[in-house]
Amino acid sequence: MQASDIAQALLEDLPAIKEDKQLSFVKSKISAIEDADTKTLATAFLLVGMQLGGACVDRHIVLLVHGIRTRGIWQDLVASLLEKHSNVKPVIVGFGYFDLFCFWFPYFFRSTPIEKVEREIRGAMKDNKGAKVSVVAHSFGTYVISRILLSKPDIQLHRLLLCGAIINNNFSWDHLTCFPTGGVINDVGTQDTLPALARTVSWGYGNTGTFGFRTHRVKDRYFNFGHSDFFNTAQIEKYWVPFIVRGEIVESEWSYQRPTPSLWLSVLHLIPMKSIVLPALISSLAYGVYKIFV
Amino acid sequence: MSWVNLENLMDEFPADKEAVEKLLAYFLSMAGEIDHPKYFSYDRIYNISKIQSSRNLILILHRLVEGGLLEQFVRVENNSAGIGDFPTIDEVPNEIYDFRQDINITITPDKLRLYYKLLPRETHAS
Repeated sequence: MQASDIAQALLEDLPAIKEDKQLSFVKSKISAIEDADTKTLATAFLLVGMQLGGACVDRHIVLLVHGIRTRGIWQDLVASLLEKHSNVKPVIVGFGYFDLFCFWFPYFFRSTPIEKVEREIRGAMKDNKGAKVSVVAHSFGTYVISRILLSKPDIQLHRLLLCGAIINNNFSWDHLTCFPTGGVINDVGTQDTLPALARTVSWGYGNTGTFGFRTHRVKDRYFNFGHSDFFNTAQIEKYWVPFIVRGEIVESEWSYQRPTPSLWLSVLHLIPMKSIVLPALISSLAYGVYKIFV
Repeated sequence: MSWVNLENLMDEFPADKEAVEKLLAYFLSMAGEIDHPKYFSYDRIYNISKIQSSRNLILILHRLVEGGLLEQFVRVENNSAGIGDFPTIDEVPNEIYDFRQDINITITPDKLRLYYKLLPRETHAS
């Protein structure tokens, strides 16, 4: 645990301690740190944090990016839980209603939400100079963030939490020059069929929200969930808040207990749906036009 | 403190390079002028340095402590007046005599302030 994280945890625990016991509590926690350098640094973060009203580190901006066909009601829930931490400022990012056709079609439409979210990130960085910027993204929002990370190496994220991810399985986490400094967690729903379908029916997507990335750069964490089952208070408080606020990874028991994925889900991406859907659509349109004029 | 370390420091915090350079120039120039240690509260350094990120400033000051230019200590304050200095938080007693008010006070964490001691140049390790 880093010195700033130790100090932040102390600051968060302190209000629950009786005033006359607070100094002893602080002393016991600080003296338990074995490394002298870490102890000195944790003391500095703690004392400055107390002066700043409970935030030992700089402001931490957390952007919440939603998926398609949704207005992201979950964002308000996550924001309300993150706001309890004095140094965390959640920012709800929307790019409007994004329908299935826009989601499916590989050209034109995807750039609009990517540009919007990029503008939001840059705006948050500009308004909160020196602040760390983390992102929680769901579904299509994960794709949007992946495109930004890939194409805008000057955008440095602190922590990245993905759920219902549809980022391409071959995404080059290793080659990112701006890999999130505080790590990446990918919360996988083993009942979530949408990422698997997305990979099958369109271009550029992956089934990483169904199966995980399986790479050393990203921590895959599995839950017995469908696409949008992550959004409840208990889940967010137990698994998301510790990671976003302190970088603490709470393991999910389902990661070790989950059954082998069903065969049909595993082989779904082998079915050449992309090659069927697009020609079928073009053929239908052509036939429609033909019937109208001939 | 070696100049190489100072250069490393500026490389380590590229966004604050200019502010780091000015802060170091300030400390080094003052260290050459003083005969006795000079004390700075964190707040005062924050105002001098113009470094916006308190996290970065803490880390920069920590590097200066490691380099021997500064010493970090904890000051107990009561009604904005210092009543006791301690090298580490572990050494702060639970109770202290406030000589200004002639009373014993119970120390709570909100009475602790972060301070740095600038040492005269001749005392720095070369």
